[in-house]
Amino acid sequence: MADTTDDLETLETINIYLIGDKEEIGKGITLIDACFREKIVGIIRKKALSANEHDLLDIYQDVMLSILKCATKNLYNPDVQKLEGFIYTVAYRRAAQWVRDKCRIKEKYSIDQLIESTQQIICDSKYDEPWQAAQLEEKRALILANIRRLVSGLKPRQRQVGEIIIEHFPDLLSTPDIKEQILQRYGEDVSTVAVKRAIQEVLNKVKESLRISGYGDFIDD
Amino acid sequence: MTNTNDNVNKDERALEALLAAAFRLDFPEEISDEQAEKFFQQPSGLSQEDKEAISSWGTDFIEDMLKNQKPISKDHSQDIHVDKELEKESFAMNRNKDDSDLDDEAHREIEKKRKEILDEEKDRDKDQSNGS
Repeated sequence: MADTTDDLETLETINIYLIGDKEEIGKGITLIDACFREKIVGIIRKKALSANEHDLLDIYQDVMLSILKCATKNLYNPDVQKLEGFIYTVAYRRAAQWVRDKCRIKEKYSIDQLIESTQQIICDSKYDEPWQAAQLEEKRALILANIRRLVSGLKPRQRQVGEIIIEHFPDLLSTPDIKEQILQRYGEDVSTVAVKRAIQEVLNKVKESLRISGYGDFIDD
Repeated sequence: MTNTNDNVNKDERALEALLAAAFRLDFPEEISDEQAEKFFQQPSGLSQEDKEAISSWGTDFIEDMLKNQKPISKDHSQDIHVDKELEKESFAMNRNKDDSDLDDEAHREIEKKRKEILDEEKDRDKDQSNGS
């Protein structure tokens, strides 16, 4: 956002509004909506993969109301944190809360355990070589960003399946487990074939991310 | 055969691991101001479908949300509208129905019920307008 003088002025205006009175905070929220709606929903979409259009609107309003609450209680200080970082954190947390409520699962693994499991599983597969090469060539972040972009653009059923796999990792879920999760979470009784197809589509996007990041030669049989 | 299946499973698990790494490890809750700034300069990555959906929201809901200090459910307002339409239609169907074989008492009972339902609906509308 802040790459032109106009953008910087807009950010400054929003900051001034957010530290003002009730009416000014309202103007700040309206301006945030006008300038950042797509970016905010972009953050929400990457966390709440299975959210439909109405869910996105609910989460988005939750984000805006949280920003309103923080500003009203003077919890946002532009001298301490930049506006973009503040908005990012609020959007991420509200979307993560939505996913937690939807999954009704508690975080079982620490970040260290997740990192260890990820490394072990990749190390034991044919993807170890491209992954090591990507890390050496500092393309790790590029691959992961491509995965997020491609998977968040998938069809609703495929995004549901992706979210289930992500949230349960490193627990291994079978196709019937995922089918059961879809039934429990969304009340939709999907055929096993449809679930299998959705899993395959999600994993194909991960492969595609490796390919478009320059590691296709390692993985194509 | 078992080895091949094992390898396929291991490779699929590795793809799941990369997926989890992308969404849970490389997409953290808190990022630095510089990272956030960079993040906001990049394209949102939203699909065309999502972009169309968010532009269909319009801007009035933000004003309503700020006024009420709570989320506005567009879906819900549509549901109420549909419910009312259905109720109107069912009343109309009852009135148009050939009821010549009903006796006076049945007519009185139907009229009484109809009045009760209409009163309830009026009360509910009044509550909703007081609540908003």
